[in-house]
Amino acid sequence: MTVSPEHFASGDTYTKYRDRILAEEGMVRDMLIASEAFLTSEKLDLAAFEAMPATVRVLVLSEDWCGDCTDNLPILDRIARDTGKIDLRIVSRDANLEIADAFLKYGKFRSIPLVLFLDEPGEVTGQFIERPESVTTLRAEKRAAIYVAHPEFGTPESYATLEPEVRAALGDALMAMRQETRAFAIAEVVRELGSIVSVPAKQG
Amino acid sequence: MAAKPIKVTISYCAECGYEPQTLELAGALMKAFGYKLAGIELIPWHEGSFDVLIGNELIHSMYREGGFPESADIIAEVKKRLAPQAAQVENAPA
Repeated sequence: MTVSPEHFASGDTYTKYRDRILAEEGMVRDMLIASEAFLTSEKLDLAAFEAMPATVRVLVLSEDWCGDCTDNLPILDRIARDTGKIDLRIVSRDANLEIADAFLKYGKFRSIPLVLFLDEPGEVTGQFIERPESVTTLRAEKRAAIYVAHPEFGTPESYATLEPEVRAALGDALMAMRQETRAFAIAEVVRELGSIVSVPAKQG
Repeated sequence: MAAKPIKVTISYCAECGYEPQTLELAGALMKAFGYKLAGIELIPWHEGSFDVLIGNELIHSMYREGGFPESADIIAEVKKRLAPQAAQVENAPA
């Protein structure tokens, strides 16, 4: 899969994406503001990016409603600003299904953000999809612990049948868990992105 | 004998952009059943969910079945549950 320089250049910068999201009141705007605010105080290990010999182009397939995108695009922007080693552009997944379908999560899901690292001719040299597996696993464990600690929440399948007050408490617990795991998630995203750009050690 | 009311609940991940599918299904149910349904409840939820319940019975789960349900399939499931009640009403003594 090759992305032409013209197509890459047609994507939005993070600033343009951010301005668009912040222009409209709503949950996505709140999520982006929360992500950026949390990230401000996080110290990131950017050694892998700082060691890169040159700036690399990174194309992200996203959609404006996407929560994992409001989590992860600020991280990419931070890496770009702090190291100068990433030239970031953002395009709509739904307007780029040919690209999305070449990088399906688990071979079947058009998950986003889809982060593609491009070489000089525009060939994809590495990809990151949605979030690290380690984050999904940790959150699944913590989610299971919530249900153990709160029998009144029933099972993960029964939330829709709970009384509204109990369901709201479950929702709050899930959101709190997500907040508790945010620092871990950021570190794992940086680590996984860093592993893509790391130059293998020379043999012998 | 009054038919037992049937409520359909659609819960959807509110941060995943599933509103169009939610509204499409809700609209299809409104069109198909009108006042025959006791209610259509929409629950904004978390974590990639898109679940459909008829009463307390989970008919479709994004996690269990994967993907979104076809509106026609959900309508067929509702009809199955409405039909016995209709039959009971028709057979009830005057």
